[in-house]
Amino acid sequence: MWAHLISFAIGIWLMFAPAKLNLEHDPSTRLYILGPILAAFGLIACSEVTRGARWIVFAGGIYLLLDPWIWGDWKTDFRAAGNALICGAALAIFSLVKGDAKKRFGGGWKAIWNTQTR
Amino acid sequence: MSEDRASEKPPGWSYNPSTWKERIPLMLVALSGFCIAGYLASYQWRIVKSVWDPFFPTGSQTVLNSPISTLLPIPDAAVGALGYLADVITGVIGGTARWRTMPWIVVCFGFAVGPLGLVSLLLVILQPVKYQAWCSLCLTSAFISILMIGPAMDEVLASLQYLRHQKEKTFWRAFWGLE
Repeated sequence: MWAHLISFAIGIWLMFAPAKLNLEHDPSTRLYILGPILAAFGLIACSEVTRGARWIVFAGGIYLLLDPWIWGDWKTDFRAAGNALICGAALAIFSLVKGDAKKRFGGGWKAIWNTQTR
Repeated sequence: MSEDRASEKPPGWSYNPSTWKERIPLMLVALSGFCIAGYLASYQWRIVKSVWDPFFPTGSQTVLNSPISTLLPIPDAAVGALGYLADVITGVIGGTARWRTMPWIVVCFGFAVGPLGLVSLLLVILQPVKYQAWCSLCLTSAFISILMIGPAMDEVLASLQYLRHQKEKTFWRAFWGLE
């Protein structure tokens, strides 16, 4: 759970990073969109039953790692690029932590699609 | 009594997601969301003259008076308050075996919690992108609605598993909890 709480905190940081780092308009807009989404799915992934939400955080982390190259910020805006790379790497790593599995959910979400009667 | 509750566990589960111990904390969180959204709606209806915001005082006014907040016949904060009220009502109806006896109310509860959280996420994105402003209490309300999603979904999962695998009744009889 702690790893997903960190993902949540990174998502919150991404929401406010444009103001704190004084970023340009375009990278700011991307963070304003991505930050709340990653914070939300990080928080949702804290619950064991919705732990699968961490894969959305993972995808977001990978996107952030690619973001400076996709939009060319690595040449023009080092703060935006550095922030995206550090946060993206952290999100990708922390989202891979599966965490505690103390509870049993009768086969989980997969059981809904499974045709076998339990 | 405790044996009865243990037997109400869904098959293959280590706990019963419909116990009051699981549901009451969610109701309290939803009630706190209702109070915050209700306060914001009272500002949008001008029942209170100003809105309290410790971090973004002008931002709150910008967000709460934005064109998006008046897209619907009632202010968006009032829609949020109604959503939280729906969370409380659908969360409180039914006993500790409702995942099996009243799947319809559990599915309604899931719809009240899930989409409300996702709509508030959309509103959080729109605040800075469209209006370059933040609203502390709007963010708090969004946090509350998203905080509820994970803990609420276990009961929904139990009901969906039950509807998928029970063989004694037709799907609709099982869904409506009919004998």
